[in-house]
Amino acid sequence: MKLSKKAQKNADILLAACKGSDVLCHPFTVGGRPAALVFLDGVADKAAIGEQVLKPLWGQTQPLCSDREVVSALFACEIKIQTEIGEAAAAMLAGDPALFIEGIATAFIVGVKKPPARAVMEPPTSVVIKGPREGFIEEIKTNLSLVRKRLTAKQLVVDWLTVGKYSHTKIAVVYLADVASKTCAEEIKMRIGGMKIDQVTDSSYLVPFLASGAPVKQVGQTEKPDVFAAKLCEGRVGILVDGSPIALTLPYMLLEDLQSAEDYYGGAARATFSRIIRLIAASVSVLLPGAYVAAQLFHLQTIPLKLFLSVAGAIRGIPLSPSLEMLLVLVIFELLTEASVRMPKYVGLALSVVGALVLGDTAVRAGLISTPAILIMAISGISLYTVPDLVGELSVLRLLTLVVAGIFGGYGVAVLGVGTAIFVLSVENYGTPLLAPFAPRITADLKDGMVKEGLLSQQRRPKSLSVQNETRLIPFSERKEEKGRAVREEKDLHQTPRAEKDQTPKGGKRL
Amino acid sequence: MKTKAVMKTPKGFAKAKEGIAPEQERPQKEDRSAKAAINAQTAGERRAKAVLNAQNEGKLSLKAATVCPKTSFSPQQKGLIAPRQIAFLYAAFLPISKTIFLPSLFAARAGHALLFPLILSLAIDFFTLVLVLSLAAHGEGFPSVLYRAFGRVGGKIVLAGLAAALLVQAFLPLGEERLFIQLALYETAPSLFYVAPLFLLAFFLQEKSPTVLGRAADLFLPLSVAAIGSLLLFAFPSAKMERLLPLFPQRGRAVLTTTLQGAAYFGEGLYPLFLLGKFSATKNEKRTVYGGFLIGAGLTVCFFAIFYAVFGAIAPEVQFGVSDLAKHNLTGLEIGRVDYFSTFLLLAVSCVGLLLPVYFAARCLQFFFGKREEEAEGAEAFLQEEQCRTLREEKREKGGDAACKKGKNGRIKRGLKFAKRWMARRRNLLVSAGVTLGLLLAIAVTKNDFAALSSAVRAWFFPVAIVFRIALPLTLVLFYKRREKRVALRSVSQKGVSLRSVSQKEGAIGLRPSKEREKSPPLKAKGEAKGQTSTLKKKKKRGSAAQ
Repeated sequence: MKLSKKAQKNADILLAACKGSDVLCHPFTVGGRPAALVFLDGVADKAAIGEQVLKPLWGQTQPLCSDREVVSALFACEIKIQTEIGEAAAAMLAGDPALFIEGIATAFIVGVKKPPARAVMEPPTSVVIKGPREGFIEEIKTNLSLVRKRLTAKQLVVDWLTVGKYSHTKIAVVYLADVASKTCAEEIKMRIGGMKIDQVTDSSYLVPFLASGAPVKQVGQTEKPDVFAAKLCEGRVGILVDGSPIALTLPYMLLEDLQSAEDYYGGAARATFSRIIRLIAASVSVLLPGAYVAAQLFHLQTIPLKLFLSVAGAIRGIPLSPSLEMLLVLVIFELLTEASVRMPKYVGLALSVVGALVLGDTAVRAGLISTPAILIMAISGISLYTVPDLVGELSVLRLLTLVVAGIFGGYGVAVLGVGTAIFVLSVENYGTPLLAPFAPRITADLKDGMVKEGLLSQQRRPKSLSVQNETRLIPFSERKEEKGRAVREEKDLHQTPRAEKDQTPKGGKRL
Repeated sequence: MKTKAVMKTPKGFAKAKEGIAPEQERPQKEDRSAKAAINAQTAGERRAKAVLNAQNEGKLSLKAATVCPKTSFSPQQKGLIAPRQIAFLYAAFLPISKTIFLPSLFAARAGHALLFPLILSLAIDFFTLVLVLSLAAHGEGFPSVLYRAFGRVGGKIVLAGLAAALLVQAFLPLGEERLFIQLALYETAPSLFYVAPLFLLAFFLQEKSPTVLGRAADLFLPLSVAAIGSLLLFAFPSAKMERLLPLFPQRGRAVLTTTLQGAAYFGEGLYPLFLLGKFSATKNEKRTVYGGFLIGAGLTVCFFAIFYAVFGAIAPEVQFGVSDLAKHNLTGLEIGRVDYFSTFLLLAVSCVGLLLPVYFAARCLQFFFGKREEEAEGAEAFLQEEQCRTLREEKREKGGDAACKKGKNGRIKRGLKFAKRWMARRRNLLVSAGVTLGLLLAIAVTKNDFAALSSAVRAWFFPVAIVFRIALPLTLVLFYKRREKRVALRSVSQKGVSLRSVSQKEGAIGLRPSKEREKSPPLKAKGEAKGQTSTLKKKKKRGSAAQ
């Protein structure tokens, strides 16, 4: 529906269309003509409205007759012009006030919204000792500014999409135009654009639409703008969702979760060591409870004699079977984890006392659970959190391994491991295999695999991502060669006119 | 005059081949990769358009939007495998099926000369591999190679025979692994139920494309090498290498009979045959595959040598040497039987290694039961698929109209059609299930008679091995050689014709112009030639009708 030239009529229609008592209307006159400002209480910044909209308009003595005059009269720097009532209502409900002036069939949407938002702070899920501590927040524009702060290149593309029948959530698809795969970016935009959903309250709502149905993580997630920017530079496509502090990155490789932001701010040797430790810890967390149960039930000879004797002494008198005992400990551990995350902080101390002393010590004393079982579960639990982004997947796999080990023994665990590996091997997202660069083996990408090489040796972007431009770094030695080549070429061109030579920049070609 | 052999590689291989770094690509392949990139873009655009249309029409559901994003640059979609991965397949899985029971069998037959029958068998396999890889240069798919050489019926017979031979080849190591688990690995003598997960895995693996198999080789190679390497390392201190002396066998006959007896355990050289059209084989790539085979063979030989060096005269009695190899060296130490971890690692790798013949047997049977358009492999697959899809759609439209006209009777026909379509869609799944269940049943039924049955299989398998491992690839190679000659002769005769036609142009009495002749396909398989002409005719008819 088109807007009319009557300001008050437009405001009334807008008020009637938006059925909320928090929609306010402020009628006033500009140059002798009636005008109306409709805005959302609590979201629009009233001080900014006064400074940027009302103050300049009150000073007008001549009536404003055209869009251009109004725009030039206002002090605001973000003004959108809408001629449809629906669009004006949508913009007003997003937080920006709508200004109507008698005689002009237009709504001026002034960008002065200030929704409540928390301050930029270090994300609690990815704390670093060394490196940037900024984290994304729930405000998409702040998040984008954090990215822009790190990537000021003109090649940074930000495509805006709106999703959600009722939430009209803003989504930004961000990528580097000359690096990221265009096919991938288009595919992502199509998938997000094709979403028919009531509301998108978090970025995790997009994940099922962006990934295949396979029950394995297929979308990268990060809360840190530095990590996000680095992934964009590698050739990935990033997605920011309004209202979510977690940004998504695609294509995703399983290796990403074994890498940490800190690996890139410290030495290569330390990073390699940390990654190997993380891999071992992840394997231990999944396999250890199952291996213990299988060894007790089917393969006693795998346990060294002295250890076997001490285990035998500890499990004597335990009424439960090894698999049931371990399952019980696992359930208790999961309960404690779940409760400690959800409980208020002041109850947390009491919970840890109950968990450690009452459940652990008393259960052992009562002869319900053996000490080796608690020890193994503790090691498994601690190891699990060395790879925080895969906690969900690994804990499910641990439970499955435990059940299979209890029923089929070590061979069952081996078959389960191989089956899981084959399943993961067959998963691809946006043309990138999940287990790249290990399977398929891409030797060039292994430089940032389990063994991390120094920054200078990582001259090319990951081949697994099928990027447009592979070079990301040119070391000094090659730059000299490049310069030398340029000089030689220049020398060869004896017949080149002097004027043409002078046009070349001083110092030759620099990359 | 010498003629240069031209290596034919299907279009798009250069780009779609996995794990190949662009710097390794040759400059002449650039235009191909560019074409592949254009194809990828157009495919992406097509998908994008489809999604947009669906969105505009309000048809795009959650399910439609969450379809697995298989882009056209994905090698998994095309089922391609890199030659490096075939090499890794050999290096990782070649020793696996030979480590369980074969060392004791060879030791019983050939004594200290057990390495000779092993090397002889591996050499035969290597010969097969050389023959098969020479076929790969033609860039044709496995079934089309067979159909071209033997005709459609003959090809089907060969496919069935190959599947049967592979299943028999898989049966022996699988049965032995079951015995190994039941007798040596578990302390509770578990039932067949404990081995059943392997068959579940077999079914799961059969549903995967060769790309996944290649990636599995990439992943399992380090594990396999670590497992065998650590076992050999643990066993080496207790090995007395002088037990293998004198190096040269005194009884040549024993070596020969042992080779014949062990024929059922070999045959890996044939594997690339089932992957024809899925990989390219240039000279360097062939070398890579040979290298992988030689590494695998080397590991096997080392295992056999250490096995005999550890056990010596009692080697024939040690039926499951894997778990006992490092026993004597480690029992005295306080660290426990750490070699068990290597054994379990080897078992994990064997889960894929022992299932390779089953996988390829299922593939043969899938081709055997498959329709012609589904059998198209390699570069032409996409084009043929498109043609078939349009034909199918046309047929469906016509059929649908006819069924509507028939009314009540049409319902039964429609039901039958639906059932047929359902079966056709799930044919591969049904074949995989059949193969898996058949093997499981065979292993379950032969629980007590396995020893007798396996010795009978070993005794009678050699002629089958000769037929499929040597005669079949040799026949195919000779067929292609003869065909190349015929093509060369034909091109020479065409040149002659063109010269004549040029000379006769002035007289206005011409043979068919030489250009037209060149356009016509040189030589086609019986079935394929028929199919193509029929589609051409149809196209012409359609064109004339439209005009």
